[in-house]
Amino acid sequence: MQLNLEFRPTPVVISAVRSSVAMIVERYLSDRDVATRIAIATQELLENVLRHSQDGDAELSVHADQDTHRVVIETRSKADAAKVDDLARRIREMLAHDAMEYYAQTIAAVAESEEDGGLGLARIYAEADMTLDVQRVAEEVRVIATTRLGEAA
Amino acid sequence: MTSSLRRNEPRFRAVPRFDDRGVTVSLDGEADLDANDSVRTLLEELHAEAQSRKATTVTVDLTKLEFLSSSGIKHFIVWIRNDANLAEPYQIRFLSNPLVPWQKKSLEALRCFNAKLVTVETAGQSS
Repeated sequence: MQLNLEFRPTPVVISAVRSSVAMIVERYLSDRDVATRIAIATQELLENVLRHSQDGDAELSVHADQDTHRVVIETRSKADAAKVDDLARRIREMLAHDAMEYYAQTIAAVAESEEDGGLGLARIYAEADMTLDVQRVAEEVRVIATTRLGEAA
Repeated sequence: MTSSLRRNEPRFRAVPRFDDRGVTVSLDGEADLDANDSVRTLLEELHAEAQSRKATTVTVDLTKLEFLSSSGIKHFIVWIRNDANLAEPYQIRFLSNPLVPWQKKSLEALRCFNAKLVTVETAGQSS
């Protein structure tokens, strides 16, 4: 199953996209738990696009493969190079930790922060059981979340 | 202080109930970015109401909450932190629905953030 969307994210549109993706994945895989994990990752990735996209546009692709047992979600948007480098650094740091341990540390940190956000990537890693990668291609940042079906704790 | 603690957004609703033990707020719908301000102000008012009533326990019934984004989770984290900073903090009790998959890990993360103050119960059961 391959789903590709191009749109300009707003809170309402992100909500509609998340719900639609979850419904499609649940019907395709007949697995509500996986659909919920994909919904969480979709919401959090698109919220990050909304916060950081330079031109406000986004592309989202969702690929679910029952043969390889993999689900891949990818967002593409234009982002400042320094922000992409910072994102890549944060993801490397996150993946070096146990998911729940890192989530607990992040929760403790955001409790003292006045800034919006800060929890989404850790939530994808810990709650959606997905690993993350970031790639910069020219002015575009691609954030890729991947999980294997049946891997969730 | 009397606060309605009631919310009636297009996709997010909150209904309060008061008793001798404290305050219960039932949440319904989807609390994502669209309802972010509503969740934040609700928890700020709930914190003030709990102090005003000298509540010993505040219960948040999430059994009908289908989704909560990380922005909303952050508001719950700040609420728990603010409670913990009180001289006499109240207990926070979450009622969860095992049929709503996001709740298990999100609520466990909130409980771990402050296990002294936060408990999570499956609706219809007590821990």
